[in-house]
Amino acid sequence: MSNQQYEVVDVVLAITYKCNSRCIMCNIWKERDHEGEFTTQDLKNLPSTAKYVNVTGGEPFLRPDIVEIVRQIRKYSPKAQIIISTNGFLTDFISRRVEEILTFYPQIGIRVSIDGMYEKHEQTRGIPHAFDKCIATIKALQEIGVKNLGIGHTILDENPGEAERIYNLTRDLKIELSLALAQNSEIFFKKTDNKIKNFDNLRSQLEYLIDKELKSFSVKRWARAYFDYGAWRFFRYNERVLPEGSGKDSVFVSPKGQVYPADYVNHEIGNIKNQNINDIVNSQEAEKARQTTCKNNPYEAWMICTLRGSFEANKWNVLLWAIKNKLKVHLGQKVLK
Amino acid sequence: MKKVKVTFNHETCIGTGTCATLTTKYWQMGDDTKSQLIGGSLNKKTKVYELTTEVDDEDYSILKETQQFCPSQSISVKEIK
Repeated sequence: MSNQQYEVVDVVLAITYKCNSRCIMCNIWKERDHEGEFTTQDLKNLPSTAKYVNVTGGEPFLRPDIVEIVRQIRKYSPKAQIIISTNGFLTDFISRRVEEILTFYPQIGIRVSIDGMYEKHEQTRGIPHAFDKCIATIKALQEIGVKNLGIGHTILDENPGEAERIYNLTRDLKIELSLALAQNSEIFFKKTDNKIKNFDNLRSQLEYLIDKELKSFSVKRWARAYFDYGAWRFFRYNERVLPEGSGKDSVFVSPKGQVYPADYVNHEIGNIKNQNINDIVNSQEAEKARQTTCKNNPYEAWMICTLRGSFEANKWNVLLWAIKNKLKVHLGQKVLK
Repeated sequence: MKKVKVTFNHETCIGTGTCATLTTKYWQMGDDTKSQLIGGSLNKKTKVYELTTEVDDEDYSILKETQQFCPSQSISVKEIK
């Protein structure tokens, strides 16, 4: 691969579109076609250069061979940190699968999606007692020894004020917070009308998180504050503080093995059933996607899995921003304009 | 209380787990990632699992929801008069 221009470090791997949720911001659960999902053998085409593989769905634990999938990712992307994103509704079922994974990969990361406290989460997910189920799953996973555990939270217009509550919940539970913001995808969520219009809420939530993260003494948390700052600039002013790497150092893989530059770029550039992902991103089709679809993309998004490469490349600028703004928040000043 | 007959076709179940998410009182996920009707017995003639039981209004409502949201229409819940 040394003579190739692009190397993938970040893979979002949707392993099934089967889903037991009924979310208002996502239509995957309405999907009926589950034929032709990629096999565990197809995972030989994962990039050996990957540093992060996010296993997602649908609900990924509904795929019967999820344990073997994790084993194959370890084999073919051995440097990757693997994170499974789950809705956390099937507590016992998920715990049994994770216990198996822990026997050969104790560093497995799990993110349980929670959009708000109590009934707010039920409203966005359409499932009775959704919040209680998620908390039960988090506690069960803590009990069996999952160390890399967190909540995945998405800021939507439908859950105003919830991000700071979820942040405080993660501090109480001593787990991570992975933040995302409303986005659209024709190929993944099958939804194109998610939009953030409530900028007052967005600003107050991001300002709260930035203040908390910058007051910490963790460089990782300062980087999160920068991600939050970038989200504000992106959503409010439609400008990027960091370039994104879709189709260059990051890709999205659908359950049928189709490879896209990102889940918000509807341009298939190859398939892991017959080609290695690093070969795919260096193909003519990928170049065509980068030159056309990525540039004129109406569903462009601000998401961490297409930004990690940029964070690495711009780490000193991020650090400088963090130090400057850390002083600001300690003086009681606002960061967002 | 209502007397109901729940039938479940394990063969056509595609394993979205929706029923076991809505209520763990009547449904659980098996290791084959397909649902199981708790307390149900296999009718060898029709090849579907059956459970006849008495339920309150709340349980009846949630059972009807499992039928409504089963994407493969593998669940049937009928009140027996």
